[in-house]
Amino acid sequence: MTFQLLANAAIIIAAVAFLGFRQLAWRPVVTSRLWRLPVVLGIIGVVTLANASSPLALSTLDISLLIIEVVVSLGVGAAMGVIARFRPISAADQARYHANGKPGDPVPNLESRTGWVGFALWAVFIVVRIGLDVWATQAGSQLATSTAVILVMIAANRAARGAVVAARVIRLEAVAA
Amino acid sequence: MSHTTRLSPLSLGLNLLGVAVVTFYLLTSFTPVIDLWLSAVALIGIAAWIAEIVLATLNQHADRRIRALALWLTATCGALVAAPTLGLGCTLIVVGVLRAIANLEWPLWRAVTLTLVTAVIVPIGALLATLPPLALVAIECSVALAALGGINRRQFRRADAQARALLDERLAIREEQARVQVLADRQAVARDIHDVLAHSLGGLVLQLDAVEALLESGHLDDALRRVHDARLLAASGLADARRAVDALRAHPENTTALTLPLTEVLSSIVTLVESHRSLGGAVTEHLPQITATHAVSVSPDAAAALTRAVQEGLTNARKHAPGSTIHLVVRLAAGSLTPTVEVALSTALEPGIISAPAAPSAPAAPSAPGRTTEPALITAAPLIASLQQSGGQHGLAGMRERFEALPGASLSAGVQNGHFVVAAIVPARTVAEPA
Repeated sequence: MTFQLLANAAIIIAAVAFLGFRQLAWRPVVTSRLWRLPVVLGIIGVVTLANASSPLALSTLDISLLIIEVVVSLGVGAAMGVIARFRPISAADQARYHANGKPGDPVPNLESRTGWVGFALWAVFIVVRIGLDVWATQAGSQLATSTAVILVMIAANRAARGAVVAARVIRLEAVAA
Repeated sequence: MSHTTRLSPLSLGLNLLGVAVVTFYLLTSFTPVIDLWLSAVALIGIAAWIAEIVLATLNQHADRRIRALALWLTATCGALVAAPTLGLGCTLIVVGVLRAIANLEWPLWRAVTLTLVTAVIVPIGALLATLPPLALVAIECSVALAALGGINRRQFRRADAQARALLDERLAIREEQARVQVLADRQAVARDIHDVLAHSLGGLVLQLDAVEALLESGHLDDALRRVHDARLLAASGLADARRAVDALRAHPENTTALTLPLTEVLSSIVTLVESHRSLGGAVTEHLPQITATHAVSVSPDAAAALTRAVQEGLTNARKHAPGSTIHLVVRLAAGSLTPTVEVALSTALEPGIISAPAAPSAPAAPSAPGRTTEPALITAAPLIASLQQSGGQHGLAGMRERFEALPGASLSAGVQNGHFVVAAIVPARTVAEPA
């Protein structure tokens, strides 16, 4: 049990609690903000990754695991976007968002949640991540177990979800118009 | 949309050349050094590639699922052997991913799923072989390039399909326009046939009825006079029919520019009035004096509309108020912005006919300029109903259509103070005015 694994475990538990809560609650959909989290996490992750290891020191195993993890994250994120449910925001909630937000902020028309299926997808995502962690440690890859990779994975996940949600919202608005 | 997925001869040739080159290098360079099962996987991928080409060439309507399965096999088998064959499998990846994304018959998300699965299989294949890290990155880049190429081709094909759809739509609109034009023309023909034939044939029936009665009672001289009148009416109807046919045959551009002097319209109206009198009707007319210095002209359409309105009013009066005296007033109103010609036809009605609740009638063209003294007319539903039962609805509808089509014209028909009043207004032009 290394410090790295303990840190991972702590991040994972915090992420589970936070993301679980967010999957079950109805949250407003603001398409312009869908990319904020993935971009921030992605930049932090890539910068950390680049500082932690020189690209020349990466082994084929490292790159393989990185690619697999990122693609799995993209797939799970896209699936989350596909299963998300949308509903129109009530006028009262809309007024509340408007009052709480800064002037000039877009007022959301829709809110969404992914429910228990979304939560289960997060669980699958985390189990895959832990499984790969354990296997990669045994196989000798140091990079795949780093915290930076987790950030990149979450960024990929959120980005894929955001892309699917944005496409669906555009289609919904086109149908509603 | 099968035209978008059919292989052109050039494309077919390039694909077959690709199959030959990949198979040759696989069998000569890699089969001796890699595991046998990896060679088998590569051959399955090549076979799937060939199958897809054959299906796309021979049978455009081949089961989409079989073709999709072939592309999946091509891409995934290629992904697994790409690293062990030092990139040779990339050819299969590019073919499978690019063709899957470019095919508009398949939803994009399935093609994207194939791309992601391919991207995951490549590193699995890399773990089976000893491959430099950069080579793995290069192979993944080939997957990304194939996806980009596929998206590019898909968008091109979609734009092409949209252009075709737009063209089809435009053709459909043109056909619809032509159909509507034909319908409008047919309505115009029906209107003219009604106006000409219903008037003269209806008058002939009345005349012949009278002739029959006179012959039965032995009044041979009167009968002969009636027959003479009937012949005149028939001749006038025939002339009307010829004029209507000539007007329909005339090119629209040749007719719209011309104008008719009001005197011609008045002479047509006088002919109608005389014809009505010959059928036993009583008419008092009040016509304006047209002098050479005060010549007024109207468009041929307006002239036709006015004449037909008088004709229809007289026919209806004969049918529904026989024996009543008709008051015909033709008036020039030059005081307003545009000079207008106003025609009012008023028929006294039997007291029993009017029993409908009073309601103001709507003129045919409310925005007509030059309306001066429009009487507040009242519709009489039973009278209109009796007109409709006798076939008069064609005449009334025809009258309204004619006036609706004329800019600045208006028509109202209804009951006012015990009289059925038809009031028509058309714009006129004064010519030869002193400068």
